[in-house]
Amino acid sequence: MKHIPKIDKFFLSLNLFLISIHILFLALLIKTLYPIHFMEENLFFFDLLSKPLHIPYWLIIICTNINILSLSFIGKLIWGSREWVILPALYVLNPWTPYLASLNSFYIYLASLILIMILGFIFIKSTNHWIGAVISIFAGVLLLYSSLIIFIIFPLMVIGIIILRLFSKNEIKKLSFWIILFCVPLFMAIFKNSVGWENIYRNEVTILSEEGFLNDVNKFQGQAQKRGFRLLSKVAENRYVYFAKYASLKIIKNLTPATYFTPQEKLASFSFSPPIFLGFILPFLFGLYSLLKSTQSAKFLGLSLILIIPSLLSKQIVDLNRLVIFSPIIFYAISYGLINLYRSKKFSFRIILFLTIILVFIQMFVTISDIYLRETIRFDKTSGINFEIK
Amino acid sequence: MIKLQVILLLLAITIIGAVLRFTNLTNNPPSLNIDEVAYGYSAYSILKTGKDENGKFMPIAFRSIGDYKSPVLIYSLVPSIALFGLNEFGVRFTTVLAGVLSIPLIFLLINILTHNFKISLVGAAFLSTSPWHIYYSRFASDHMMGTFFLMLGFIFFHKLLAGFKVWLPAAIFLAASMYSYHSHRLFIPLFIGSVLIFNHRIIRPPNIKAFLAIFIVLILPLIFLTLFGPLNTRAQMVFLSQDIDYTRYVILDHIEKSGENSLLFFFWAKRYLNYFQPDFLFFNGLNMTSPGTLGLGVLHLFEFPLLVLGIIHLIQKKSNFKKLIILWILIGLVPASVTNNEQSAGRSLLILPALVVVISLGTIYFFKIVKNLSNIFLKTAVLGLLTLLTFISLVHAFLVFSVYFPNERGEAFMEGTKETVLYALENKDKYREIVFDPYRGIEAQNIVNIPYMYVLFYSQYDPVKFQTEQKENQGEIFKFDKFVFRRIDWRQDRLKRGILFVGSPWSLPLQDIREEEILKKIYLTNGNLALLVVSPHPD
Repeated sequence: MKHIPKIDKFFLSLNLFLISIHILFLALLIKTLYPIHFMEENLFFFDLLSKPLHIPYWLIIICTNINILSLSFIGKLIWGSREWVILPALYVLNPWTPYLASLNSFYIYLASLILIMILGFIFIKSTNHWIGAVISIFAGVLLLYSSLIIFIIFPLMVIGIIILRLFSKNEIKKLSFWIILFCVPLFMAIFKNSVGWENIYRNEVTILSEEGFLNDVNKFQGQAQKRGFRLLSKVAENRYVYFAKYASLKIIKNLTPATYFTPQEKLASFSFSPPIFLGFILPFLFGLYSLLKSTQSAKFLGLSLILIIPSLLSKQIVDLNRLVIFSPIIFYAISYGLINLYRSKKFSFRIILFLTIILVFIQMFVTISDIYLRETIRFDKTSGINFEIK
Repeated sequence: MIKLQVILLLLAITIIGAVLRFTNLTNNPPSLNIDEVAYGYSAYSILKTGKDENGKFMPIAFRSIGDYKSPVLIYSLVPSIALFGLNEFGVRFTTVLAGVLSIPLIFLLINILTHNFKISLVGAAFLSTSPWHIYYSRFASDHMMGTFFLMLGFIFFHKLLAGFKVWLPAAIFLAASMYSYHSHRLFIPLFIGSVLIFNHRIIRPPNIKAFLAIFIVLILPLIFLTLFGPLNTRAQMVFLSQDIDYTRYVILDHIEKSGENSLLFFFWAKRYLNYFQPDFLFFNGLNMTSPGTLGLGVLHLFEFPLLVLGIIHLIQKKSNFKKLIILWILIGLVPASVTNNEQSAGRSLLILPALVVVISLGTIYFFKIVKNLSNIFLKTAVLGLLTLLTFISLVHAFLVFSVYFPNERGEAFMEGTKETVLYALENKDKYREIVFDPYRGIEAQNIVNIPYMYVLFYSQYDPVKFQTEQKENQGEIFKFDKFVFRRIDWRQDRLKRGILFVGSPWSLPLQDIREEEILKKIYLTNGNLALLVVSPHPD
C-alpha cells in the first residue's frame, strides 16, 4: 500500500464490464418494479434552511456506479493483484445495492460518500497524503451536509479513530480543522433554526420515541404489582432495563448473519431477495474469523460498527435501507474469506469454495427469475396501491 | 472418583432444579392443554384396556386427535396415572421427573466429554435454571422425553466411540429417543451418520456394527410407519411446503409454478438461520408473553456473552468432542427448520444439551479471562456487570413464569375448558343434550378446543365404553353419550329446550342472551371472559 494503484487496461476493462452488468441488473429491476420507490429524503442542510432539496434519481444511479469504482480502488489498494475484482463484483452481483439503487434509495448516495472517504483514508495511510486528505475532506463535508444521522455519528467516528490510533494525531488535527472550517455554514444553520433541527431529529431518530416499549413496561409492572411483586418488577421491568434489552436486541439483530444472507428482513419491506446471496455465508464467516485474528483489522471492524447506528436509530428493528452503508464492510469480509479460501491449498477449503460458487449461481438464477415473475405481485400483496415505501 | 463435595453440589443443584419444576405444577401452566389431556386419556385407556381410545391394541403411533402421537410419553404415563390418578399431577409427573433427572444426566454428559467436574457442575447449574428446560418440564411434553433419552443415548454412544462395549444401551436409548418425538427421528440417524463419517479413523468397527444392527432392528417399525403408515401423512402435513408464510408470501399461492422448489430450499435456509436469531435465543423464543413484547428467550440474556466465549473457546481449542457438539447443534436444527413453524422452541429443544456444553465452556473461559485481568477496576466492573445482568435476567424469568405467562397465555393452554366440563358433568342429568362449541378465542374465534377429550379426561370416561359405543361423526359434528361437539348457531339453538350450551361469547353473544339463561361465566386469569355455559328458556 505505498502508491496510488496504476489504472491499467485490465483495471479499466474489468470495471467497465462490472458497471455494464450492474446497469443490466438495474434495468431489469427498474423495468419490473417501476414505479415503486423509496420516499425522497431531503438533504440535511437544505432542510434546515427550509428549502427542501433531494438527490435526483439519476444521481443515485451515478452514485451506485461510483461505488463500484471506489470499491475497485479500495480492493486494488488492499490486495494489489487481480484479486481486487472480488470486492466490486460482490457489490454488483448481490441484490442488496442494485435493489436499493433501483428504488431510489438516499442511502446509496451516502454509501458513495462513505466509500470515497474510506478511499481517502487509505490514501492517507499510503504515501499520497494530499490526494487522500482532499478526498476525505470533500466526502466528509458532503456527508455532514447531507444527513443528520451522519452528523450524529461523525463525532463517534472521529473519537473511534483517535482511541484506536488508526491515524496520527497530526493527521486527525489537520483533517478535523478543514472539515470543521467547511462546515461553519452548517453549524450556523443549526443554531439559527433549532426548531427545524428538532423536527428533523424527530423524523430521523425514531428509536427514542418508541411508545410501544413504554406500554409493555407498564403492562408488565401492573401485572407484577397486582401479584405482590412490586419491588421485583421495579428492579427488572423498569424502562431503562427494557430499553437496554430492546437496544441489545437491535444491535445483535443488526449483526446476525440471517439478516444479511436470507430474506428474513425484507428488502424494501416486501422483497424475497436476500441482501446477499446465501452461498457467501461461509466465506463471510471464514473471512471474519481471519480478520479478527489481526489486531489492526479487528480495530477497523470495531470502528466500522458505527455504520450500523443509522439502522439502530430507525423504527424497524433492522432497516436494510439504512444498513446499506455498512454493506461494504460485509463485502470486505466476504472478499477476505474468498481470497483466503482461494489461496489455501486445503482440500476442504477448495470444496467450500466450489460449493459457494455453485450455490451463488443457482441462487442468482432463482432470484432473477423470482424478481421477474413474482416481485410486483408480492409488493401489491404487502403494500397495496401506494408505490412509495417509507 | 467423584468427590463428596461434587456429589453434594450436584445434589443441591438437582434439588433447586426439582423445586423450580415441581412448584405449583398443577396450576402453572394454568390448565392442561389439548395434547396433555389426549396423552393422559390414551395412557388411561392403555392402563384399563391395553388399547388406545380408538380400540387399537398397544399402538406404536397413537391416532389420538388425528395427529398420530409418539408412543414413549403415553406408555411412560401409564404408571404415573395408575399411581396418582387421571389428573393434572398424574399427567405432568413423568415429564417433570425426566426434566429433573436430566440435571445429573447433563453432569455425566459433560463429564465424559471434558473430564472436568467444574465444567460439569456449571453445566448442571445452567440446565437446572434453564427457562427452556423448565418450561418444557412443566407440562406433558414429548419434546422433553425425547431429549432425556437423547442425552442418555448420547452418553452411551460416546462411550461406544471410546471403545466400550455398550452398544446395547446406546442403541436402546437412542431408539427410545426416536420413538419419543418426531424431530429426533430425523436428527438421530443424521447425527449418528455424520459422527461415524467424521470419526471413521478412530472408531472400532465391531462395536459399531453390533450397535448399528440392534439400532436398525429397533427402529424398523418406525421406518415402516414413516414410509408407508400414518406417520407419513403427518410428516407431509407439517412439512415446510405447507407453511402459510411460504405459500402466501413466497410462492404467492402457486401463482407461478416454475422455480417453486428452489425457492423452497432458500426459504428453508432462512428458517434454519432464524434459529440463530437473538429474538428467539434471548428475547422471545418461548412465546410465554404476548406477541411483540420482550418476554423470555430459550436462553437467559446473561448467557449471551458466555455463549459467544464458549463458541470462541470451542473453535480455538483442540478437543476431541468439538466436532460432536458442533454437529449436534447444526444437525439438531434441521428437523425444526423443515417444519411449518417460524421458530419452534419445542422442536429445537434437542439442541439444548449441546448449547449447555458450549455455555459451560464459555463460563469457565470467562472466569479465566477475568482472573488474568491485572486492572482491579476492570475486573470488578466486568464481574459486577455480569452479576447485575444475571440478577435482572433471573428476576425477569421468575416474573415471566409466575405472573406474565399465566396471565397472558392462559388461552394457549385452554384455560377455562376444565371448569365448563366439570359443570356439564355435574349437571349432566338435568339435560337431554350437552353441546360444546369447539371454537374459542378472545380476539377472534380462532382456537380449536377439541373439548371431547376434556370430557373423556375429566369424567374418567370408561375406555371400554368409549371404544365400543356407537359414536356419530359427521363432518364437523361429533357425538357420544349425551355430548355433542359442533358449532353453535345461536339464532337456531336459542329456540331449543333442555340443552346445555358451552361456547365462547363469539358463538353465545351476550347481548342476545337473557341473564337467567347464563348459568356460568368462565374468565381467564387476566380477567377476559372466555366461555359461557348457557341453557335457553324459549318463550
